[in-house]
Amino acid sequence: MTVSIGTMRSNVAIVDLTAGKITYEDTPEDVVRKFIGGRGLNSAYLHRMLPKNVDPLSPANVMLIGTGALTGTGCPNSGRFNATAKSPESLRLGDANCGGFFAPKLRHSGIDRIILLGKAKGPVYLVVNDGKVHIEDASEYWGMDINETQIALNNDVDPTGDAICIGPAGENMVRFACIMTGVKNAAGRGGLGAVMGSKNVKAVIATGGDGLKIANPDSFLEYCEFLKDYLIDSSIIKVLGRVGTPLLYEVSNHLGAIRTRNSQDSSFESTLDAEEIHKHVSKMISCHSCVVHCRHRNVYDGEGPEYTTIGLLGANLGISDPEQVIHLNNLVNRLGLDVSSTGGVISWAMELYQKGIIDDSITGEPINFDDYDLVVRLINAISKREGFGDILADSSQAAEKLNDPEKKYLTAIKDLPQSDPHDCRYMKAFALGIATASRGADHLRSRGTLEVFNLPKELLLEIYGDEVVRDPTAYDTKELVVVAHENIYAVVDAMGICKFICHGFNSPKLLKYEHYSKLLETAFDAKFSEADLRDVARNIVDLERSFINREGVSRKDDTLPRRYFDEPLPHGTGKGERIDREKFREMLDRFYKLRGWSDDGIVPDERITELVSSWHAGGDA
Amino acid sequence: MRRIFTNHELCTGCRACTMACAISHFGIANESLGAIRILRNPFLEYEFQALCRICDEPECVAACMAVALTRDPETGQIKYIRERCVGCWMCVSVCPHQAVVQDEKAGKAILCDQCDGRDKPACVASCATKAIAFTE
Repeated sequence: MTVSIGTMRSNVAIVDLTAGKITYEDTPEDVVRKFIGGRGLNSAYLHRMLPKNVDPLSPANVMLIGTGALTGTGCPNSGRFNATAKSPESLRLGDANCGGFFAPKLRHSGIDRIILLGKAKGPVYLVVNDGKVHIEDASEYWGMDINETQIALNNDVDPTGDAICIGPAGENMVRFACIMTGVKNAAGRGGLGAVMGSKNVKAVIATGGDGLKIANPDSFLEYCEFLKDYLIDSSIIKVLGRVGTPLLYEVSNHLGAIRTRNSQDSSFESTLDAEEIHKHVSKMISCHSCVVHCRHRNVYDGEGPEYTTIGLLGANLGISDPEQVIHLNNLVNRLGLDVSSTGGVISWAMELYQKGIIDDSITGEPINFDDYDLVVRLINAISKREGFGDILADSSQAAEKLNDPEKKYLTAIKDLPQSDPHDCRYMKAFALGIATASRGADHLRSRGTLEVFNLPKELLLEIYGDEVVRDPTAYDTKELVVVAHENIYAVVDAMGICKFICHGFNSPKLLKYEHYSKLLETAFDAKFSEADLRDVARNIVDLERSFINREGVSRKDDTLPRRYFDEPLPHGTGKGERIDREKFREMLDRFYKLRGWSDDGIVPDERITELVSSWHAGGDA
Repeated sequence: MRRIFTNHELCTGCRACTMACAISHFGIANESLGAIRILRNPFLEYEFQALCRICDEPECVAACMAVALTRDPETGQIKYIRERCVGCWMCVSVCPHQAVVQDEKAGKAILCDQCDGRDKPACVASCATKAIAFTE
């Protein structure tokens, strides 16, 4: 079957903020066929447009807001976009995927992707309407928090519009500031809110437009209904819809693998179990077209918390009161901070203080674990870059100032603090996945957990294409697990669809390549076979790798926090487990071989040539 | 007569129903073209469905001077003839349920037709939480 994009629209608005000029173009079909949309096309544009070694907070950084191929079609869980730029936190790839309602509205408004270049003279916001982008003065909104900004924009521009915005943290260029939409949805990782702030862009609001033409309405709707019924019948979807991601807290805690007090411990209180959290929840709500409804509306004027929040702002800071954790969750969301890095950076400083590596002369006051009021003060200080908060606001880039230049006590990879509260010493595939993920320590790129479900060998063979070892503590064959998951997650991110309905993330029974293929066909008459989509996956992974290679990433960076190698897990099922350096090195060798990269983790030149057409060099496709 | 009923407590606000309605009637994925709307505000914390309730004494029919809206005396069903609509929005302003949608570009009202001819209305078929039902 010849790959065809059918009627799928893929356009770009290029906003030169310095000149105040906006141009529009269609993405060349050849490029869409290779990278399809969302994260894939964002990475292709970043690879094409960003020179190497650019300061991420300078006007030279390039920022993309890009919807997925199926975003806004109304198919299950199709409400997502990716924000992409060079990260001011990791100084490497910054890329974050976000749900909510903005992405479908952006697409319906007639624009599939926005590229922000340069820097506006003063605060601005963008209005997207009927396929056009307008730059407006945002002076009145500067200083507002996430909720205030969106409420004001809805009042002033269009009550039915949906916006993304930054809060005070983004304005002050905190290196782990988010881009947010709604109360809680965040393009959270890598400090992309700081990039928006560095460009003086407070918000983007989408409104109006003619929507997306669906090529085969009846068969598309029929297939969507089939998928919806199939998905809601799944036990994992049911439980996610009932209590959300906090269910994973108990799983990790049982394994003795919940990051506790900056990973000094691995077991914490049951007060943060899902059922305890749920006592503070008034309703479970959804992102656009979602069949899962995993998002909590809590009773303290906020949404959440996720498992990540419970772990990073709870156990990792030694805070066991669920109400306090939810208040912290709501605070970081209002200020526009990434919950993972906020928790990871504060816990890092707390351990440094505990060990006497830093003292009151830097911190200004004692900073100990299990001190809710202190954490509230620190979060506010970080968002305003005041006092010690100004140092913490630089995340991993503050290592020298925190007297930990080698980052011995920071749980981070490629300078990105680890997002998942799961301590990776127990599950070796998980460890390899976060060690090699393109944006740094991150579970959303390649988390493979199917092995813990003790699935039949035949099913594992079908999923991984070869026999894999079921023991989660084994090193052999784990490269197969990471590659399989990394590939399909790249595709689901390019589709603009949520990982919670994607095969492999929590279950082997959810949507696979063949399902995305049929959705593309019914929605747009686009022809991508399962094999074609597998090619797209490899294209995205290799291009992202090529991008970070260009920024200096190689084998030396595909590693784990020191503690994961040197200290065994103290509790639970995983007690005694750590990562063996030699076995990790061998696992990495096998991973590179499977990926077709060099022994040093570099994408070969001929593969880059294959991916990067003349379009990437600035010419036509 | 079967008709569409909604339960706002089960509604999670996802708008799959609105999308399905727009796609089934216009072939376009555009939530502003759905006859069923999800009125939601995450900051004021509500989400509920706005949909024609097939009033016994429909004010929209009484207000429609173009006779685009009529009531079937036998079934009670409200019939909408799009070609007759002149886009005066009187129906929009009098509807107590905010159930008439303005297609401003076309200058036409959009009103639920219960997916006349379909075994199951598109919105009902799309709902993952059974917040919309088609029943007696």
